Amino acid sequence: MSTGLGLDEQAIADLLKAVTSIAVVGASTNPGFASHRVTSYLVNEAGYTVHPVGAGGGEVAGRPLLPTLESVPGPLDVVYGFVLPPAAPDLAWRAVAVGARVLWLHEGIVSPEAEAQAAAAGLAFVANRSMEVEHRVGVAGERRVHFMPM
Amino acid sequence: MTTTIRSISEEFQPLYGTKLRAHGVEHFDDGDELPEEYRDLLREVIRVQVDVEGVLLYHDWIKDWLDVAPQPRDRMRIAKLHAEELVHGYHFLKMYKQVDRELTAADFENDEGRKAQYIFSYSFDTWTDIALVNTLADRMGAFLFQDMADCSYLPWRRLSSRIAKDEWGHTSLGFGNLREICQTEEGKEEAQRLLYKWYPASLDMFGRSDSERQYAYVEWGLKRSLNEELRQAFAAQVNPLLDSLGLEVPPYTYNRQFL
Repeated sequence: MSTGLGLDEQAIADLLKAVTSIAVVGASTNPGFASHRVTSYLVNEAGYTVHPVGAGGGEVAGRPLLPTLESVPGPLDVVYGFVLPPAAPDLAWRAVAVGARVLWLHEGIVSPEAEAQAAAAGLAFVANRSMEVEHRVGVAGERRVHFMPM
Repeated sequence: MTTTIRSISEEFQPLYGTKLRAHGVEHFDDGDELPEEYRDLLREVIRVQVDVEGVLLYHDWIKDWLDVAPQPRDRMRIAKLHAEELVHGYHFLKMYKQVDRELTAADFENDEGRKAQYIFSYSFDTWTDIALVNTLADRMGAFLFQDMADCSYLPWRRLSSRIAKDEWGHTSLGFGNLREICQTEEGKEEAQRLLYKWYPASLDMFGRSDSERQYAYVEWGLKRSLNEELRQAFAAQVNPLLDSLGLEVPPYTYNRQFL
């Protein structure tokens, strides 16, 4: 049975070293929001080609906020969702449709249905994890803060 | 989703203190010779708290909270909360020394042997994260310490009462902050997204429902309640509060690691 959690830590580290372009769906221009902070890290620290996708226009980390996932230009490796869990299966279909290789759901978002859809289409799947944290640990070599599960 | 809530206490409360009575005592105090099983349980319950708050005396993981506090008033309040958590941590370290040994910086260099919970491996990125952690995880702490406020180890009993009072203050502060955040539609949407992250992890902090050790805690009078009983009481209290802000509470079993 699917756990909805996706890849393990080592596979995630390998994946983060292999991808270059990321669409952050649910990105916000509000610097107090998690999606803004993580997007800024992915642009300024990790050096990925990042396309923030969200409502209202404006910029995130100097990148234009695009209205839809489908309006992202060029090839796309990862669709990274900051969405409510019920919206994850729809995001999975859209990730498949735009030709992404990976569907990634941020901390707190798990979806066995989205995982099954991604797997059926050959996409790698990561859930319930921050891409910033995983990049810091798996690529930049920082220590994972704070604790491991009991 | 509906959740069946059954009363565990009616079935198991007759167990409360049975091993103490068999031992011919009502409680233990500092300096008393402790039965081996009792000492092991006490050491375990203190060690978990050492790894939640005692560790903060060696790794200042919550000082960044000051930087995301939006107003001077918020910085002052969160600094006070921080100070109280450090005081708790100091007392937990002292208490652990009473029942086992003195812990040093070397014990906190890595995660080996640590007892703390996975909720703290999530990132605390934003003021909304902190408001939710204070609302939920500190409330969990209040429930836990209130449950031990008449426990059979007198030094822990005295400390638990004090800490429960502080944690009620922290959760009240967090809920006030969350209420302010939810006054805008944008803030409420962010809180709703992050509630899916913090709510299940907070429920998991109560431990496994099928834990064998939980019965021994009750038998030795260290805790009053079983894990699931306390978890359900927590949910019964906090869910209406979240509802009142217009937030949708995630299903009880969503993203749970310890059912």
